[in-house]
Amino acid sequence: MKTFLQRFAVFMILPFIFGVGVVTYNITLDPYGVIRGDMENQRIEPNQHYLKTKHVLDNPKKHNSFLFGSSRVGKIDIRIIEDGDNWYNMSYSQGVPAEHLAEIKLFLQNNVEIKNIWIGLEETSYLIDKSQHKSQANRKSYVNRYNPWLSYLFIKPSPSIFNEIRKANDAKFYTKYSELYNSGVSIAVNVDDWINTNLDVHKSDPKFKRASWNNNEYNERIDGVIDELSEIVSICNENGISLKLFINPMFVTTYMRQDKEEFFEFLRKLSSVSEFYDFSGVNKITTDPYYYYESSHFRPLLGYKIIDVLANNLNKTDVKEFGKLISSDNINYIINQKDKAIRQYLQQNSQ
Amino acid sequence: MLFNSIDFALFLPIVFLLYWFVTHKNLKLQNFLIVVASYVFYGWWDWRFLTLIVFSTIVDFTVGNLLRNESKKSKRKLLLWISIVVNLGFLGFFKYYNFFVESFVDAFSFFGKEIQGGSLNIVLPVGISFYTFQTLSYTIDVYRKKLEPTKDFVAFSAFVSFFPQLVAGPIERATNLLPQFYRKRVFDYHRAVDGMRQILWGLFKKIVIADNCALFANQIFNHSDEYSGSTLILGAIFFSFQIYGDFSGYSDIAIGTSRLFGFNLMKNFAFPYFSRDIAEFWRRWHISLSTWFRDYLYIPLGGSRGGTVMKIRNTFIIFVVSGFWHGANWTFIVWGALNAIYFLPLLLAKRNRNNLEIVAKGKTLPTPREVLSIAITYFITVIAWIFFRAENVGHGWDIVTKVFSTSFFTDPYFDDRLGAIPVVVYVLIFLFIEWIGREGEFAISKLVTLWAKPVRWSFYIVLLVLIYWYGDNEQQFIYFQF
Repeated sequence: MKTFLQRFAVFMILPFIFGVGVVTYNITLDPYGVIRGDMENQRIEPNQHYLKTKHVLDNPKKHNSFLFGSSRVGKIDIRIIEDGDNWYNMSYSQGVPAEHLAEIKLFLQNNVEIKNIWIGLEETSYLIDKSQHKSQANRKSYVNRYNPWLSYLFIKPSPSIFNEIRKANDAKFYTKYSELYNSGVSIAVNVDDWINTNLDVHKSDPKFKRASWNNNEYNERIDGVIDELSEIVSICNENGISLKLFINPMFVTTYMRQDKEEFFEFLRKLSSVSEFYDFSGVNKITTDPYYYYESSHFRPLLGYKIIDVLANNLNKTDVKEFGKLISSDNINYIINQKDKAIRQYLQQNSQ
Repeated sequence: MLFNSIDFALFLPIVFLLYWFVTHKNLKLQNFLIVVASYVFYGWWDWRFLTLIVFSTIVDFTVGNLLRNESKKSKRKLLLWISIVVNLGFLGFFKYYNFFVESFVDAFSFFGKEIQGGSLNIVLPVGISFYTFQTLSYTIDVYRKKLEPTKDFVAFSAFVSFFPQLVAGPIERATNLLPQFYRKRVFDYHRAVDGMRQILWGLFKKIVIADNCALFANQIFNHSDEYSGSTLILGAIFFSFQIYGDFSGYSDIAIGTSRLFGFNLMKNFAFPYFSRDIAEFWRRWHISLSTWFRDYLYIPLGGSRGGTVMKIRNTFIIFVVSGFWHGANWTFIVWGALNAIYFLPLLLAKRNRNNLEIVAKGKTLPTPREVLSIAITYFITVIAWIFFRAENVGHGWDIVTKVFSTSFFTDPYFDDRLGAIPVVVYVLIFLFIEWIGREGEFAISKLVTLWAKPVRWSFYIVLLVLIYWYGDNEQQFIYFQF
C-alpha cells in the first residue's frame, strides 16, 4: 500500500501542478462569474442561470414575483412594474420551461414566497432540451453549493474566452450585469442611444435579414414542454400563485424561419393547458428593426409595451392583436389569422 | 453519481482510504462500508429508489435462507417464483408498463377499435435491469443448489449493491462475486495498479471516444431525413463507437475500481469489433448479459439441443428477450431479431463456434480473409445498431433504405464536417491500440508494461490530458437508461 500511494503521489505531481495552474487561471479570470460572483466588472455574459437561482435562494425574502424566460425577455425591465411586489427578472440565455419548473420547485422548497410568475415562451421553448445545458458553462443549472461550482474551477483555459473578455473590455457597446443582484435585468450600454441617433443605419443592417439561429440543430419536444407547463400551472394553482404565460414578439425573419406547423401545434396544445398572451405574429412591430437589437432580442421599449399588457391589461400599440389573450375558445381563429399573415408576408416578399 | 464526474473523483479516494486504513482489520466493517458507500453512490442520483434495492435485497436474502431448509420440490419452486415475480415485477412495472399499455392501445386502433390507455408518468430507476438480474442469479443458483445460501446479510447487501457495477454492470454471478465478500481482502499492489490503468483507459473510451462520437451520431440521427445514405452510414459508424466506448468504458472503470478494493469482476467486453462472425461478436460483447441469458434462459429452454425448429425458436427467444432487456421499445426488439437472423445460419451450419480464439493470435496482422470477415461482421453489426439508435422502427427503416440506395455512394456531408476529423483520428488511434493489445485483459493491460517507465507515464499523462480536455461534458452513460 505504501509503495502504491508513494508512486501514485509521484505520478500525480505533474497533473497536480497542471491542476493548480488551471484552478488559479479560473479563479483569476472567472469568465462566467460563478466563482467570485463579481458582477460590477463582468463584461461577457455570465452564467445568469446559476447566479440568479443562487441569488434567489440566498435571499428568499427579497423577491416574490418572477419573470422567467430566455435571454429574449432579458430586456423586459420589470423595475417599472408598480404593483407593490418585488419583481425579479430570472431570464438567462436559452432558458426553457423544464428549467423554470425545476427552479420554481426549488424556490418553494427553500421557502421563497412566490406571488406572481410570468413566463415568456417562443420556439426555443420546445426546441431546446435542458440536458444540453449541462455541458455549457454559460448555462449550467444551480444544483447545490458545490455543484456545479466545483466544475468551474477546472474549466479548460480557452484562448477564445480570453479574446472575448479582452474585446468586451474595449467595446463601446456592451451589456452590464450589475443589476443581477437587484432586479436581474441586464442593461445594454450605449446601444439604445446609438440606435436612436442612427436609426436608418440600424434598420438597414443586414443582420435583420438573417434568422437569429438555425432551428435545424434541434429536435422539437412539444409534448414534453406542454407536460412541464401543465405542471407549472398545477403548482401555481396549488400555491395561489398568479401565473401569466406569454409568447414573445419574435422578429419576423426568426419568426418565418421556424417550422410554422410546429409553432401552431405548440400554441394549440398550450391553449389547452392555460390561457396566454400572444405578442407574436407578422405585424408593424415585429417587422420593424427599431424595436430590436438584432433578429432575436427585442429592446426595452418593446418590453415596456409587454409590461403594459401583462401588468395593466393595456395595449398602447396600434397593433390590435398585440398581446391578445388566447384560450382554447379562440385558438383556431388566431392560428388561421397567423397563417394568413404568414402567407401574405411571403407573397409580398417574394415579389 | 457518474464515474466521469468531480463528485466521483472525490468519492472514490475517500472510500478507498476508509476501506484500507480504517476498516481493513474487520471484514464485516469493510463490507458494511461498501454497503454505505454503495447506497450513497446510488442515492446521489435519487435516494427514493434505494428502497427498491433494499427491498430486493431483503426478499432474495430471505428466499435464499428459506431455500436452505426446504427440501420439498414444490415449495422450493414456489420460493423461487416469489423471488422472480418480485424482481421482474419491479422491472416490469418501472420499465415496461407504459410500453405494454401503449402497444395494446396501438394494436386495438390498428384493428379499428379506439381504446383509452392509462399510461403513467414513471421514472425508470437507474440500473434496475442490472441489479435485478444480479440478485436473480443468486436465488436461481441457490435453487439449483449450485450455491450455498448466505447467512451474512451485510455481505449479501454488499453483493447486491456493490457500487462499481451497481448501475451498469458487469452483471455479476453470485457464484463469482458473493464468495469474495466472505474472504479477507489483502491489498495487492499489482492488482491496484492494474485497476488504475483500467480506470484510466475506461475514462478515455468514455470521454474521448464515446462522447465525441456522440456529437456527430446525434446530429446525423436526429436529422436523418436531411442526409444521404453515405452520411447516415457514417452516423451509424459514429454510433457504433459511441456505444462501444460508452459501455465498455463503463465496464473498464467498474472492473478497475473493483480491483482497487481487492475484487475481481468478470470481463464484459473482449474486443468485439475484431470479431470474424456474429457468433464471435456475441461472445465478446456484453459478455455478462449474454452468458446470463445463456445460463438462465437459453439452456433451460433446451439450448441448441433438439431439432431445427427448437434451435430456431430458442435462438429467436434469447435474442429478442436480450433486445427487449435494453428498453421498452420495438427498436430493441428489431435489433435483437436482426441479430438472431445473423446468428441462425451459423448455428444451423454448426459454424457458430469456429472462432473461439482472438483473431490473429500471436501475429501482428490478420490474413486478408480475416480482414474481410471482420469487415463484414462489423458492417452487419452497424446496420443492426441503426435500429438500436433509431427513435422508432419506421425511423430505423428509413435510414436503412437510404443506406442501401445510390446515395450511399455520394460524398458524406453534415454540419461541422471538419470538426469530425480529430474524432476520426482518435477512433483510429483507439482501434490501433485495441488491436495491439487485443490479447490482454483490456487494451493497455499488457501493452504499457512492455514500455519503459518514462514512456509509460508519458502515455498516461497524454490520456489524462485528453480526458481533461474533453471532460467538461459529464455526459451520462447510455446504459444507465437500460
